[in-house]
Amino acid sequence: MSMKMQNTDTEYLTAEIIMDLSWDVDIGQTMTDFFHRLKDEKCLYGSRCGSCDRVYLPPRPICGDCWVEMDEFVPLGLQGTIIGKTICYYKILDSLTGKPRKTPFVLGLIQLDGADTTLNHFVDVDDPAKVAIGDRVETIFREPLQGNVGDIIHFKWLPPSEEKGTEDVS
Amino acid sequence: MARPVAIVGTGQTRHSKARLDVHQGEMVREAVDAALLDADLSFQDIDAIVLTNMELFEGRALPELWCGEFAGGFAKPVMKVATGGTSGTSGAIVGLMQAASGLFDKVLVVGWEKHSEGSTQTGMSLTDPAWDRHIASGAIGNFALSISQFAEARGITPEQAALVAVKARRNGALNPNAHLGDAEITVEKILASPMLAEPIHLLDMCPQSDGAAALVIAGGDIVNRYKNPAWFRASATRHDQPYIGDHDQRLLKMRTLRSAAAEVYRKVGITDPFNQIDVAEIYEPVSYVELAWYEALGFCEEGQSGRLIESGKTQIGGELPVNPSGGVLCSNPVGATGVIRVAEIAKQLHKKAGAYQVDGAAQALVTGYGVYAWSDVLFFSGDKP
Amino acid sequence: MSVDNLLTANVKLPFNFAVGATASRFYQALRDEKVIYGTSCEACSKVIVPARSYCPTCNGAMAGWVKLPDTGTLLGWSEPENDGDSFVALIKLEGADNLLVHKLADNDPVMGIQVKAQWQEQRTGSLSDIEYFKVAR
Repeated sequence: MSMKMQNTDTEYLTAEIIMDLSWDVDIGQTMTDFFHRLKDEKCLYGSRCGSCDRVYLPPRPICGDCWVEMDEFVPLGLQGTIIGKTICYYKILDSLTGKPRKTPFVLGLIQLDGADTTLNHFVDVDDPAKVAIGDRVETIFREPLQGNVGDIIHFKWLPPSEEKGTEDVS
Repeated sequence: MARPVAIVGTGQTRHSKARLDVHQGEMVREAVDAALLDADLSFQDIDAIVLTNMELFEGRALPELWCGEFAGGFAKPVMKVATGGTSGTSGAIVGLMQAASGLFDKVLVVGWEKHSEGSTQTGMSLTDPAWDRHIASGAIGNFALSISQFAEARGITPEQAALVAVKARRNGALNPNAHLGDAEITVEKILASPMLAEPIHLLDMCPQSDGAAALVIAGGDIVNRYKNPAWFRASATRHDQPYIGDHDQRLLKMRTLRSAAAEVYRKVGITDPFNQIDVAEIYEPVSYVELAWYEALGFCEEGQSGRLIESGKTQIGGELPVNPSGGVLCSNPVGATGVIRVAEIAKQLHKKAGAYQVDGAAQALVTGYGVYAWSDVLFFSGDKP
Repeated sequence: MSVDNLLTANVKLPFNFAVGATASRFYQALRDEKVIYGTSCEACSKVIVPARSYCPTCNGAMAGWVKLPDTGTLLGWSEPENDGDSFVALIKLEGADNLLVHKLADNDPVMGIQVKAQWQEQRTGSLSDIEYFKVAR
């Protein structure tokens, strides 16, 4: 951590501090199993609730709605549907690096085939204006896989015409 | 409720972009002094204190420790409540319950935030490191995703959303504590402002403010001293699941707010919210979201929120003025924002709202919204329960 | 918990804290005038250093600024783990009612001795503008 006093434009002083901190986080057995399967099988798994039948991504040990344990992992499709989208222009610092994220970037709320929850992630598309709710996307993985969330690089936008032939994927 | 309680004093700072002349504690003190003056009480009279603040936004641990002193907390029961954007309304609920329990007669609630000191959008993105921290994009991106669904499903136009921002900023121009206000604002000006994340323009979005707000809550005989106490009638709070993606139709369903409002309406006998409520201060960080809340709170039928804002019925002078203070769109020091909602409704019932006083305000609604994970609903009345 | 479950999460964030008008004046006086200011409480008349806007005892506003000498009495110390050259000391400046925490450059401190501030040549507006306190000769 560094700190320095500085003069502002006014007569008032401020103290500038850069926090550079690190934690070792226990992510739990469910997410550990999820990442092992991702690395070994190149497949994303959700957890299914035996009570309400909802499939959660990321998987978790308890269904929040039903408050019952979930012990069933189900494989999800590699493709999904955009159910919400936006093009972001605002400045945001990446919390991992402290550096500004490059803009514009496209965010999508993506429902992978077989999942009931959605995933907030980057959409890779040549022209952001093309992206519409209902469009299909495909998961693009990092090679080689490392078994953490960085393995999902982004979701590649599929032009509506190209997507037709692959509809049975799920 | 064990016994009736009321808000008898409120105080706020002048909310602004950066308060370099005061540190956090001194800013807290300004709001506390103003609230005690309004309630004609001194520090010695206060029995318990509830603080509300989001420490990560300022990057300083234990704000309740070093700011408690500036709320007069020495040798008194002091606790902090933090639930994201709902922190202020949740803190108010805790303070109201403390007074209603009979354990304390006079409770001080104070919330604050100094966004100028940190990186709020990035701080908000410190979510689950295993799953979504690397792509987390703060409040704006998350709202934009849900708004894209809501606007498409309900046919909301950018012009209708801009009308919400126009209403807010014109109201803000009447409020001496508001960070933003513009009596001359137009729909064209909102739509011409830079795009933050489609369809949210800069002027569709709330500011990030430095500010503090405080409430004095009283129970027992002391309330008789006050001319127009803001009586607390009911509250409900709802929590929801942790990931933004757990809610595939967040604004369309809005199950936390719908459920909390239904409970409060049942407790106070509201069956026709639009006609029975006189004034509302709701938590609208983005113009579009106010329209979604109109539906969730039962102010209009599904799909009619665009029409409702166009009708002007939610302006000051309309049938149900919503956010006459200018709302979150004019002032947003997050830890204080929910306290401000409650304070503004109390001012309406105290008949101290000045240029934005709603004539005959007696039945009043407050909401709080914390990320997607919390909704608080509170109901106040000029009538003793 | 297995090591397998551990994820190292790094966070890097900038902050810029406002110290406020009262502390600004205090730090500027260190920097520009080599003077240590306290503030006095209008109710209890106690003088607090570094200068504060409100009295920590009475809760009331501070009445005025008090120029304090850069000499005082050593009332406590402890040897820090990482910095062998100086002690962390509690110093009662003459005219102040509370204790200032600062460094002491002395290998063999004695309770109650007089100490004096050693000022930095290049001052930036922080408590470190006083490099340390040393035994007054």
